[in-house]
Amino acid sequence: MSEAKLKRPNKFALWLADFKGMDKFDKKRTIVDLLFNNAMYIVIVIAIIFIAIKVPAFLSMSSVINVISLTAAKLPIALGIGGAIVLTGTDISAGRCVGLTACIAASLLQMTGYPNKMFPNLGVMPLIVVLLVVMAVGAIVGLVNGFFVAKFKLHPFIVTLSTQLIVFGAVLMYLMIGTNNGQTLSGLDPSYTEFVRGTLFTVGGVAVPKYVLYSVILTAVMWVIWNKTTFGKNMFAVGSNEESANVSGVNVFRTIVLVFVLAGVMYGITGFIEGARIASCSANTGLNYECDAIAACVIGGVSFVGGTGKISGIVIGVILLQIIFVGLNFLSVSANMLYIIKGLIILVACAIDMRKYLARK
Amino acid sequence: MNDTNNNKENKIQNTEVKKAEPKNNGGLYSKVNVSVKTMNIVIAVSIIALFAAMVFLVKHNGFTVTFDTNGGSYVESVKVMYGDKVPEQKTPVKEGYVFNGWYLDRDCTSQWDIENGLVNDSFTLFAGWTEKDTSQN
Repeated sequence: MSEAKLKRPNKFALWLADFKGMDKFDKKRTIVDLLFNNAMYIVIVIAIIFIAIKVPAFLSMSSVINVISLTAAKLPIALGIGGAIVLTGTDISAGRCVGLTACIAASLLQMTGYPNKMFPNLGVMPLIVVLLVVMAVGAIVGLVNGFFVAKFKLHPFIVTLSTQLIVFGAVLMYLMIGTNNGQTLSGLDPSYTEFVRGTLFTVGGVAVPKYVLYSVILTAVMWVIWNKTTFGKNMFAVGSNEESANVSGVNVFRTIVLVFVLAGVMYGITGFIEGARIASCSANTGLNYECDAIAACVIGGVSFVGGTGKISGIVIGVILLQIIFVGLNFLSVSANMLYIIKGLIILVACAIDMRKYLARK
Repeated sequence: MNDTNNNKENKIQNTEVKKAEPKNNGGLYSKVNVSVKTMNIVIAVSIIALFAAMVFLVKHNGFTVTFDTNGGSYVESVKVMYGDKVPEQKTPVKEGYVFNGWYLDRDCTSQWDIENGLVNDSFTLFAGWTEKDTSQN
């Protein structure tokens, strides 16, 4: 602790001394670099300050908890996609995959005796079985993605676009099962909603839902996988340079497939949480979730250059995005309009990411 | 140390020795060929666009609450601000039915509390109908 405290000002002092030693031209360039490379953060901070001044309730405890809960809900999917981006790929099947797994989880965990129950004769399933089922469904989608990307060197965008469509078709078919006729799935079993939405603890009278804890656990697990396992190191090696990774004995095929399978498992877990969180699942559940996740990853410094990215960056990216969205919600900006902001944020973040790469080159 | 590394690389790809030095081929940006200066302009312009979009959206804010009367008379949609209530609407009418309130879903399972419900997004309210008791007529 004390070491870290000592280290921080030192680093800054070193940088400052370095900066003072530069000539005028270098000084200017350093400041321009600093401004442009952190432009996204500056924009977001300005937006937050503006919103906080306009709507003071934005800084209230309930709003803070709201941001935390939303972050927790969107974090696992971003952690999954992060791996695909480290491989210079992407995964646009994520949202639909969350939708499918959410619908499956909801249909298997409807209350007994609910009039519109999809499987009327099904008793209350144990939560763990359903969780494993949706994780397996996610893993299968990820396996298909990974196999086509790794084996045929297809661009992940194309592969995941096709699986996105296939999964969406599967959701629509799934919702037609029995007498359901494509309707929204609701009337969830209390054990399920309690497990996900139940109160973890309360801060200042505002309840923090349990899925925040699950999200923290998932983040920790992903951190270990990314940083402490051979698989994680292989993933960064393949993302950085596939050929040299291959030369140094990394099984590229297996690594790519595993990254996508892991991402799929994450979508499955997200779907399981999402099913109970929104409590009514339809074919539209999970629509465009991948956009938020990709934006969060790019903001958080997971670069499309490949082989770079940190779990902490993804967490920060998701939090910043959710703060902006919650803030704009406070200003009565409709969720439909937010798509414009999301698109622009992705563009700006990519431009900054590209600038960083070009400046290094 | 560097030499042995280079030799290794030479065997695989003769021409790429220099590029292999940062060990990364640029990923998605490997074929990008613009100057940092151009990127600065691109970033500045897109940030201005982002701010402009935010200002535009905040100026044109308000959530739209739409009313779906399920075959009853038309009720105009209203614009509501964050944290406000949905203003009282004139009751829709439908032949042979009695209006029994606004619901959040078409199946009329979760009723919208028109007295206390606070708006925090755009949504559609569906009219709930109960069939008129014709035996009394």
